[in-house]
Amino acid sequence: MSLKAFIQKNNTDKDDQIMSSQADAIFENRLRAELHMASKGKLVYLKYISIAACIGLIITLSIQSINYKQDKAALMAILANDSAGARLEGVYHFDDAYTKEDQQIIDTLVNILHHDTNDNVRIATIDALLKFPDNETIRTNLLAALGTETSPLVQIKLIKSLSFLRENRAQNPLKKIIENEQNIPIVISNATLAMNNLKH
Amino acid sequence: MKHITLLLVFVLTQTIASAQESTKIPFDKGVLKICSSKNFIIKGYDGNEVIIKNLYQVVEGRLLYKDSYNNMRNKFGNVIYRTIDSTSSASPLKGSSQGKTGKAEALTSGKLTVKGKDSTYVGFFKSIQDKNRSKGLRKLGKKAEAEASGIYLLIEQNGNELIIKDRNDNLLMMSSNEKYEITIPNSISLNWNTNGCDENTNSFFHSKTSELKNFKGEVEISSALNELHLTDVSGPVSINTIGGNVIIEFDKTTPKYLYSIYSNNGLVDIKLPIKSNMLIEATGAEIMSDLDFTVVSEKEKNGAQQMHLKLGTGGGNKVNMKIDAGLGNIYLRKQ
Repeated sequence: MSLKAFIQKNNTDKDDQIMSSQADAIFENRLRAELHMASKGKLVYLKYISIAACIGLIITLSIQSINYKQDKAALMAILANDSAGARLEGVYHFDDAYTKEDQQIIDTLVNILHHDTNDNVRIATIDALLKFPDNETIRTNLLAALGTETSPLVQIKLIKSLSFLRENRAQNPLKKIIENEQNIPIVISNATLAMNNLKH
Repeated sequence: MKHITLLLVFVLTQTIASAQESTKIPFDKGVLKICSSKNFIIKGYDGNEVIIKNLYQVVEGRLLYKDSYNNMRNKFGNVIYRTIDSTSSASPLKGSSQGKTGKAEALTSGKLTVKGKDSTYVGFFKSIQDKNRSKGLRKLGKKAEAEASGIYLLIEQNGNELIIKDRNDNLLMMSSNEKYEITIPNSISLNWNTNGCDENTNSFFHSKTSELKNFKGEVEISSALNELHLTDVSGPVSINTIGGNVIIEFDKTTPKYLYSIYSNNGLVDIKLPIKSNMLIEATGAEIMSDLDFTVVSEKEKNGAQQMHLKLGTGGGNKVNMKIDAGLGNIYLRKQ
């Protein structure tokens, strides 16, 4: 068979086949799928990661929130314990583990500052409250405590703390401490030093 | 709530069984509050009584009145010191006692004078009986029985609180040899104030070292100048002192619960077993140790060292120890 005859025969064969009317569309789709398969896979992959990350974040935040609530509830309970040792553990835990202000806990600590019977608990509480030096509630309560505190060691702690905070409103209670002959000399000398520090 | 206050004066009531030199009080639950400037050795034990024993031979009865100079002058006249026994020579106060604005000084042997217009401590006398005249007689009254037992302490029970304090809030006992041993149940808590329990009292005396040994209950100690020595006290312990040294030793035990120590300028010296599992936060002028601590963090604050130290590699909960010695040094030693 000559070449010409062969082509003519095969052309005839192909012409004889009936092509689907949707062939073009199918072809286009397949071509598009082949051409864009890689990037689409990446997108899907990232999408799933994002969803998983979001879920993970939500779970983590939920757990943290639950943990925080549980920890806070435990902390509030321990701060109300009859044992001074337990209350100290609570105050130290707050000092070590809490980085954000929580008004309820701060209010509890302020109450401890004014009313706890154990000097160590009150001193530890002053240290814990000093974590938030810009909190006005804390500053005013440290000032108030300086005016009422009678334990020399706690007085010294308050004097040093308010001097460290450069709290000028402390000058009046410091003056009263200096003038009160009932105070022991070491308290008066600390108050005098703090007064000078605040004036300069 | 109905509080029944039971005043137990020394050996008089049936609830106290008294030997010649010891007093036993049934008490195994609650808080033992000691408000006294006297010298004590307190020991824990697995029992149910508080047992008080005097450890001195002679009761000299030297009293220093805490009162204003004018009140004292009204009571005793200008001569504050007095003695009835002409054969006795009272030893002067050691050193001097600093009052608020005045100063009490022993200028010569057996005499005390007061300088300053409003000294807190202005009186000093020695209570001595005429031995020949009282021969064959015995003293009557509660005070006399207290003297016979050698226990010059007032003991009160208020609910679940047992209070041991000096006989008179306006007096501070200054007998240099007055010393007591108190054995206390491990099941109770100890609240010990070496300056008395009068919140308005801001005057302190230096006395010999007071000790607490082998006690398993909770401990709260407030002191001023007294040196405190704790041995094998498992905790929790909170100690605060103006200038008294705090010496802690773990000989047969390891620390089990929180230790919290605050001092303005007394030293803190602690002997720890090398197997201790602890987290220590220490603030002091200088911190010294021969233990293999891991230094977790370190900084300097107002000229003082502030360190977080870890001892022991074992897991589990580590015992917290917080020490703030102020201007004093901290010594952490191997047991």
